[in-house]
Amino acid sequence: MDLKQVFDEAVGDASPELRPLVAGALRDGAALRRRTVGTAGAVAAVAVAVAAVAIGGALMAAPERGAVLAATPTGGTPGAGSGAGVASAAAEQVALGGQAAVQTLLGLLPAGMPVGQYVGRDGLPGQAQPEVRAEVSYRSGPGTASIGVTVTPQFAPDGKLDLGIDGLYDCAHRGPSSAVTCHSTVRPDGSRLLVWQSLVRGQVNRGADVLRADGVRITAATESLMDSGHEKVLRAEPPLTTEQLEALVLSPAWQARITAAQAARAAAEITPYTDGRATISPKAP
Amino acid sequence: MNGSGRRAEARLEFEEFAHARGGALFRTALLLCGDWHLAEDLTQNALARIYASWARVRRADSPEAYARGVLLRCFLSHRRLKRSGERPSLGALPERSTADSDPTLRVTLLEAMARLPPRDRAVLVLRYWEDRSVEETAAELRVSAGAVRSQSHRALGRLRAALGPLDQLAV
Repeated sequence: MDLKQVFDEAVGDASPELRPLVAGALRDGAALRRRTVGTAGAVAAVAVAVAAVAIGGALMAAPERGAVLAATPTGGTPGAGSGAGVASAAAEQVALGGQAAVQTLLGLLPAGMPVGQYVGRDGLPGQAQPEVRAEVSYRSGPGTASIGVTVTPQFAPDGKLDLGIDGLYDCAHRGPSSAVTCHSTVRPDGSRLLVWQSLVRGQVNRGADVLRADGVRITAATESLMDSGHEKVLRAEPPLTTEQLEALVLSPAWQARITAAQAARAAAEITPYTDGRATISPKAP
Repeated sequence: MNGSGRRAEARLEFEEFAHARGGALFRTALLLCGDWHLAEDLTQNALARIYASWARVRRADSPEAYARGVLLRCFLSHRRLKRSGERPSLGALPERSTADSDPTLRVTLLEAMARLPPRDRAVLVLRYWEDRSVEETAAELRVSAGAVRSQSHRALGRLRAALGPLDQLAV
């Protein structure tokens, strides 16, 4: 058997659901084209944002870890954020970045949860709709587990939730498997929510995925190990339940735009930090 | 034809192209990254870039080759590959659309490929899946033909070692 045959026998019949992929490509491609045309404006906006971070001195009160997970999720009003000192001009708002996402995630985890490493990411190069990523490792008992959140600020711009993305929030679309539990709901505010759990070769994965009415998508997932495919499964359970993940994604703390003060505070607290690379947290127990 | 008419026509053309070639792009992405959901992401990202430049792509000698190049660059620039946890993970490949494939071979191969450095994977996929010549592969990866040969030799050796029971494969 030659390698071409091996490749062919292995993946020759693999076929994704193309409809949502093409719909997503149309959406992202159109946004990319618009962004290319408007590059000059975007550069100016970034300059304003950087300046806003630089002058945003006052630090806000740190979120109490566990406070949000303990609370009943409200479905969130965009901009509800942290309150004090935020009522100033829109110019003091900046886009959510990886550093602030890590800080938000840490703030939403149950109090005392042992976190070993964190990684944040502003968005992949060339991505039409940047996905801001935060991930932390969980160290308690055997093995290391992971908890990650991805925020896509403009997943469904203008609140249009029906641009070929219905399948994303349809459990049937996620593929048949007796190992998966999945619940999909449309919430009273129009947001789509999907919560799922799967078991694959002893690895337990849980996730929650919400597409809010403001077009922001937030996904959170936890796995019973840190690096799928490269580690042995040592843990029986991931660190968070599906209910906790649901509360995590529904938290109003996730905002596409944050205040310059929040960004400055994240820069001060989440350090050392390099975009897209894991960093040992100085607060690790 | 007015501007909106041309845009609508271009969009239809692109959709036709994406539906015709999306599956092949996805399979290449799957061999490159070894993860079903990430392969979907890479394919969508590549198609999005193609759509953004569709006016130019449609005039290319081979839009398929252009698309493959875009996909390859998306893969190689993808710094962090572990994203499958963001979506329901049903294993490396869902069962639904691979009824005729050999699941054991699939898992073994993708795991073996995953142990190779990304550029080695790219060389193998271009040479032995896409049937590109050494020179074409070198042009795609922007390296010399000699580099492709040595990389290919090294990657094949690693793949043979990693595949274990399948190490009788001849290439």
